[in-house]
Amino acid sequence: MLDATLTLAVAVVALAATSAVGVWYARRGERSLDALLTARGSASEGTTAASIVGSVMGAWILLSPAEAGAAYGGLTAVLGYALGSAVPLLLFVPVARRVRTVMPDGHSLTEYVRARFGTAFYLFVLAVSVFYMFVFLAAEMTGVTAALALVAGVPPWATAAVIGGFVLAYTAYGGLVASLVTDTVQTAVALPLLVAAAVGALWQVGGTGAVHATVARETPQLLTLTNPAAVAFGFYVVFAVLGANVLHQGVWQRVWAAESTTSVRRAFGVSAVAVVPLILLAGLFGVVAAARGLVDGNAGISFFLVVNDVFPPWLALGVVVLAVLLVASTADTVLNAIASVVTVDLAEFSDAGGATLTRVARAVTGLVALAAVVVGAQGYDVLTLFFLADLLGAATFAPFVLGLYLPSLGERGALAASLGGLAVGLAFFPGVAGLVRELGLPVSASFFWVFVGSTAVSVVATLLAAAVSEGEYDFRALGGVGARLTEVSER
Amino acid sequence: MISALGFAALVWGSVALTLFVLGYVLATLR
Repeated sequence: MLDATLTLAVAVVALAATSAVGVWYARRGERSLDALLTARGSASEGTTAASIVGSVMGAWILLSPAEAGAAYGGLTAVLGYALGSAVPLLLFVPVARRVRTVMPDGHSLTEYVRARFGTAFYLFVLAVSVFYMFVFLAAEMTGVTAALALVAGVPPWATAAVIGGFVLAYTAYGGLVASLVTDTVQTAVALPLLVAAAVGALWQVGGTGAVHATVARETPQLLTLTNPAAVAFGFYVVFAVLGANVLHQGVWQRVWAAESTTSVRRAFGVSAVAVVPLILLAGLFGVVAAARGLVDGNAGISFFLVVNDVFPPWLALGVVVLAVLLVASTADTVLNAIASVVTVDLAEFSDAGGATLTRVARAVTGLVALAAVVVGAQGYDVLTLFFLADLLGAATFAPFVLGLYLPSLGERGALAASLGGLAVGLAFFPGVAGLVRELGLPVSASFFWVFVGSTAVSVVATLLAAAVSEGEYDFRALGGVGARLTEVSER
Repeated sequence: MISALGFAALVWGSVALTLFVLGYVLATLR
């Protein structure tokens, strides 16, 4: 096991270095409200792509894909996870262009939904989006504190406080501009580290041939590509990931932060390609862990079980840096995203000036960071909350996105489609399905139907609502959304 | 069941793709 003090010191050095880059970069430019929340038109294609990858690929890629590889169906489940994670990013290739075309002065997804649909659906989407983002952040903190406790015995509060403290410092100071540049640095370091960890682990266990032989002998079911449960997992994970990512304000911020529509479309395409091998490499650790007999009811930490098993301590420190950078690049995005949602909405509902809004943005960033540190250090089982957040996303994203394209879709139709999808998803949700069954409905708990069912109902209901509606939304109305805040920001 | 060759291709293909994406991102930075 690694030394706890040394591990924490390495984490501090990695975080201090990236924080210094973030603060230095933010100091160079103007520190306006726009730089804090929007950074409009400032990010090159590479920065946008690196930032998207850094934002969506958190420490969870060291936990969930390996767990899927070890416990939910081996290689098929990992492949499904990898491809499923790419789908939402591919969806943004056309959606980003549409958003930038109809709402060039926009700042947030809630700004869009309020202007496009009205207050009721806005409040619903606001709640779903903020709930998802906070659960994501809390899960990241919980995951990394558990991982560092496992490999080095670092107390969870220490890990949470160090990561939360550094990320808060540069995000509160430099806002989105700092988040974009630190995401880029963190991704540029994390990608080679993950490759090195995978190649190093393979080297230590005798290469791909030896790994294949061990898995084929000990756990051959993990190498089949036709395991029905694994295929089902690979299919429903697409819908679980899709809705949640579409309602991630951090992703929306990057749509406007990119320098051009062409570069943002390419950046989403490149990001979609990038996440596939990353998740595959991380997920293979689960297959290796299961074949080597390391997993004993703790498949969630398979990646780190392999690291502990095959790496000498000094190499395991590289994985600590990897985990910390993955969390930091995700956490800064979520902190800034929640602060931006709150501040943008405050600007709409009040006549607060730029200085007040800047203070609010920084205060919200601090509050969310504090809450994430406190929750993350507790080691709660946040998985159920995560599934619930994913369900809310799956039920909501169809009317939300199709509202950009279907002029006849109204607020009542959007709400009905979301609530219909949510009802179906909840009926199959573990813990709820039993109650529904007692009412006489033939359902049993199934994540497949939670995500596929809720998405399907929501999509069909959205299309039906648009077909029967007689209203016609004029998309030109979105053209002026955000203009007041843009004016205040750039003053 | 995936063959040893297929498994190796999956692993090394993932490594190569990750490095390619990294190179592309760095080349399009400004």
